[in-house]
Amino acid sequence: MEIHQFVPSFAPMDAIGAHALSLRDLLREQGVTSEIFADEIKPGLESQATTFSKFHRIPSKNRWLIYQGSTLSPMAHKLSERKEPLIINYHNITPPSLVQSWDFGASMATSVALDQMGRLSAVALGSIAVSRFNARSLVELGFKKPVVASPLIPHQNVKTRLDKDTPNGATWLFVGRIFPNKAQHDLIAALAAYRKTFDKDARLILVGKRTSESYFQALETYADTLMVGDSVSFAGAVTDEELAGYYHDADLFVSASDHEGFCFPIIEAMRYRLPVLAYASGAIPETVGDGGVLLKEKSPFQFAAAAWILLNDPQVRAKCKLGADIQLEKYSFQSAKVQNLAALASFIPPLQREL
Amino acid sequence: MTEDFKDQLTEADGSKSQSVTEMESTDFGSISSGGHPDTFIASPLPPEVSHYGSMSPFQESIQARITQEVERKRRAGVFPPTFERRLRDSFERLVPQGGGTSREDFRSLFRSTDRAAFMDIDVPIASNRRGVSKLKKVIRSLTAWYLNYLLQQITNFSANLMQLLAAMDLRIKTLENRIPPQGRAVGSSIAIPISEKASAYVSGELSNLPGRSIVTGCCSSNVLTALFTTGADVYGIDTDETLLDQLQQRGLDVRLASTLEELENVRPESLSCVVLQGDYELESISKIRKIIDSAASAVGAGGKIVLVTHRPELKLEDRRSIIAIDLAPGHLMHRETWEELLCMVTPKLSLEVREGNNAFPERIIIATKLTN
Repeated sequence: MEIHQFVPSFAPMDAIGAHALSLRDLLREQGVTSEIFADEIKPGLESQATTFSKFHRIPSKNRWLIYQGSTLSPMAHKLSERKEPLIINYHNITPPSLVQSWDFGASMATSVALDQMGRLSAVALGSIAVSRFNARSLVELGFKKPVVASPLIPHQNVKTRLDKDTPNGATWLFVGRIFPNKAQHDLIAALAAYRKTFDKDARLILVGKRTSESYFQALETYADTLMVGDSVSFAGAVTDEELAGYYHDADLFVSASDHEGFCFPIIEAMRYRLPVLAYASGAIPETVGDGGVLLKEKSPFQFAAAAWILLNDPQVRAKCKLGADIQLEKYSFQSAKVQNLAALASFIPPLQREL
Repeated sequence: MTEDFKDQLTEADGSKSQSVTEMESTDFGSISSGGHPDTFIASPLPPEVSHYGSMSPFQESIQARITQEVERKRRAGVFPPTFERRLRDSFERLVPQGGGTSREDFRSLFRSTDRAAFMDIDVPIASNRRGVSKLKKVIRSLTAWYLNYLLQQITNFSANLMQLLAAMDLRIKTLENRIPPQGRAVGSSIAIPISEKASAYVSGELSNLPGRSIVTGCCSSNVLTALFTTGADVYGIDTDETLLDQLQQRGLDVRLASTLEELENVRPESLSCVVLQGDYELESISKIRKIIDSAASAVGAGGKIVLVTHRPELKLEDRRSIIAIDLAPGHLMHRETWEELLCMVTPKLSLEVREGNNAFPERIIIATKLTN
């Protein structure tokens, strides 16, 4: 039996790439022949994947295909024309409206990607979503019965940080690409409000690749306009080791993102025992659970007040810690393994028999 | 299958039943029998439960504490209304007028589309591989009759489409030139003052309302101050920075925002009352419709929308009122028009119109949002 995965862009330090790698290893453990094929393979992962053009041209009855859907890809159409059963593993696509003002090309691409995903609903054998929010999106795209299975987040041994009050000099951290839907500008506004009201020495570190240069430049100008330019650092893309350092040394993980299909960094922050404060958009409420503080409204003052409470009330942090333990268990690698195999087995009878 | 995974599957059976319980308790829909526990059936989707309505008691309690803290800071003057506005405006100025929304974007998009509308039938045939170039040339010659026929139709269509776009651009430009720019110069921010008696009447009617209320155009009356002194959970919005600062110094929770802007950003069904007063009544009909619609969305079932309006049948002779009326994009409306408009916009409202027996020149319309 062969079960192969297809990833539009296979990159290191990427949640979808990590999920695909773990799923491949998991399938191989079950005795299944499994490979990853990609439109684009980024440096460092050449040995782990094969370009899509080299995929078998002749179909096989004993082969299933899993498409890791997250963006526009020429593969999608080609896969839809294959004879083998196709399963969609959906990680969500950014709504075009969140990008349009900044990057018309990107908004067109996401619009076409959504259209492409919708067309796959007619030919796919089944679909798997990494969150209930994504499952709802799949239903809206025309998929009949999406199955929810948590993403496979490889376990890492982390050096957890010590819990402490931080009345002065707090370091806020956000991890995510510099892109309009991540709304880093709202974090800068929140930091300005926080510094003005609670902690004049607070700072914000934004870790993530600059995917939109115009948005990045606007963020820099915005921070300068609000007189917090010196307190906002753009770390760019970082290595695993550097990222571990940021999580360990920060005092608060913040997210103002307008759209998330899951949000891996929240789980990573929980692993480091970093308090989490996030705007309740997309899948974030289900990812955070009670393991952090959720904001219903995205006002800089709400962010500032919430950050102050979270950073200076040990009881609130203790409750969040208990909630984080539940979330870490819920999204543990072991649990995700079981869920993903069960989900695949529900679509692939030979795999069901194997289990 | 590995022994390790067999163990996990046994564990998963236990966790599956937990998962079923969890899923059944949500609004997502039912779970197919005999299928995987997390299987969805595409039965009615709930509205955005991930945002609101599904918060745990812990999240609700911490949210209440955050809101309290923000209100406390606002009242203490630590979060001045102008600061919040500055935070927002500073970024809005940086957002590019992209996506073809600005005149410049439109021109540039039009030019690039016009260029792309031309299609070249002369397919390149160059190749580094021996003989391939000749082969391509033969294929091109053989298929030219077919491609020519298709291309002619596509080119006709593209040319017509571009002509249509150019004509539409001209018509829109003509329309844009006819519409005066919005802003203070045409009186959109000037409000007719509201009498003391009408203010007292409104605040008396609303003094016992549970939940949070908003008073729009709060600088044009004493309603906000009166409600605040009764201990009501209320905040006000206006666009007059000077008057707002004065209200804030008196410990009131006020914000610098326009009516529509604020109501569109309020969480749905989160307010118990919206008092509409100030410049809204002189806005254009389309804007008033939007305001009423947003207000109806902001209040929960049983919540009230109070409209304080001036009667067109009474002549207002003070200088400010005369200027406001003369320069406004809209005009004062009669009771029948308000009733019609309210029913047209939001049929789920029950109306009650009070005129205060001519004790004041305003008309007070209290609309209650009915339950579904």
